[in-house]
Amino acid sequence: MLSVFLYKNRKVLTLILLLVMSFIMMTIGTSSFSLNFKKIFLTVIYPFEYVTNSILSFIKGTWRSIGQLDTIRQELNKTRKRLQELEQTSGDFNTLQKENLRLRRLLSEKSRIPYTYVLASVVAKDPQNLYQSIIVNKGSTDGIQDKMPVIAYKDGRIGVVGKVVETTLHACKISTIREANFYIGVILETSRYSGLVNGRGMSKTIRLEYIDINAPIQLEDNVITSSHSDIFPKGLSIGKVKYIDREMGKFFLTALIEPSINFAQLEDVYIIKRLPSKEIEKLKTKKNQ
Amino acid sequence: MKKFIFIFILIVFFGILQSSVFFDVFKLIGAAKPDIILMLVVFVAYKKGSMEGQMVGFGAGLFVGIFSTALFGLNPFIYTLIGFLMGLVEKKIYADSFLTSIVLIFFATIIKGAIIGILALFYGEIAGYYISFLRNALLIELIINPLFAVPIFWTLKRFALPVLR
Repeated sequence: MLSVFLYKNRKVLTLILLLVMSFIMMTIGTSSFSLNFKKIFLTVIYPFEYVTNSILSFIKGTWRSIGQLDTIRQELNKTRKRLQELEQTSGDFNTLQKENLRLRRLLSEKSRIPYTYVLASVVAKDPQNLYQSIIVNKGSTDGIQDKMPVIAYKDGRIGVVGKVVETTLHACKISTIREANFYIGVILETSRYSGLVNGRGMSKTIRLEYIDINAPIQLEDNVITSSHSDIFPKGLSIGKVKYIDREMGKFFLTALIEPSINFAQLEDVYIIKRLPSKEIEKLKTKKNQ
Repeated sequence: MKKFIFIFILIVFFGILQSSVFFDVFKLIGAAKPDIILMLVVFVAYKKGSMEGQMVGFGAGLFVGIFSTALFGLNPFIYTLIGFLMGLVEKKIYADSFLTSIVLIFFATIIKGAIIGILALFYGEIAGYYISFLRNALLIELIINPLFAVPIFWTLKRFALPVLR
């Protein structure tokens, strides 16, 4: 009787079983069990992800190169002409000097980062539009640990990318400032008023909250990390104010910030080898308990 | 066994492809990318029924979860349910045209949005993301997913279906 019932309703029973399993996984989502489970899989999958990414990047590069062949040919002709001109004038020292300066600037970008860091390349992005995390090609073998801050260089300024949330041997997952559960303490660079920034998922802007209603905030004001964050060093660029919502009768105003980092073009990031203070972590754990 | 390995390879291939940096080139409108995992789950469900659909959905959800900061279990829940529901139309829709794939994926995307919405009521962590997903991604996915469904369904029908039979 029971076996007939089970056989007849096998589809629905399997569905219930799978959904219950999913629910349990969501409930224990933050426990070490599921994270370790993810870590093991990510470690196994990473080489495939890396190879796929390399192959696809090669194909993309080749395809782009074919498309740019004509442009390159024109550029080549121009360059040849220019070279002839340069040879005729016994070399243009001014041009060489400019080129030299440009190369020096690129080199100094690395040296201007005042932290111990690891340079990493983006190898994968979150497959779902719901989340905005990225995976980079450096892991625990390179000394990367959870909660390390991640930054990138854009237009001469160091901008916040996010923080490491999961680490495997050769890769790590970074939660970016665009994610809805990402919060970071900030200040307005000019007026020094403090507030809290949190992501808005796929939106191009992030939200700045809890800024005093009387703060002299203006459009294009720079927002930087404050000393309130124990993960991020202070003074790192978050972005620029693009919209201000000052509602009457409220204690705080809200603003929208355009991040300094263009996440669509993000290829390389710097993972700062700095961890939150153990004392602060201890205090936080005690408070949660 | 052969089917099982083949489905596993398909899930791994689709999962890695969707999470690759290269896949960003398919962000045709706005910032949303097509959900080809959803297309794989719907295809298997439509062709093989609810049982296979939900199993593939669960497996694909688990795999996708590896690359995501999403709550572990969220993706299996979404794709399992979609696999089951889409499997219900097996042998009920006989027209096997490109229009079928468009309609199926359109409704699957709506169901996906609805499931995330319902889960957002129970899990505060999802709620924050859901508002942004509703505002910025769902409408775009409703357009690009059906568009991508046509070539994906054609490819799967041509190369995967003979093995799955």
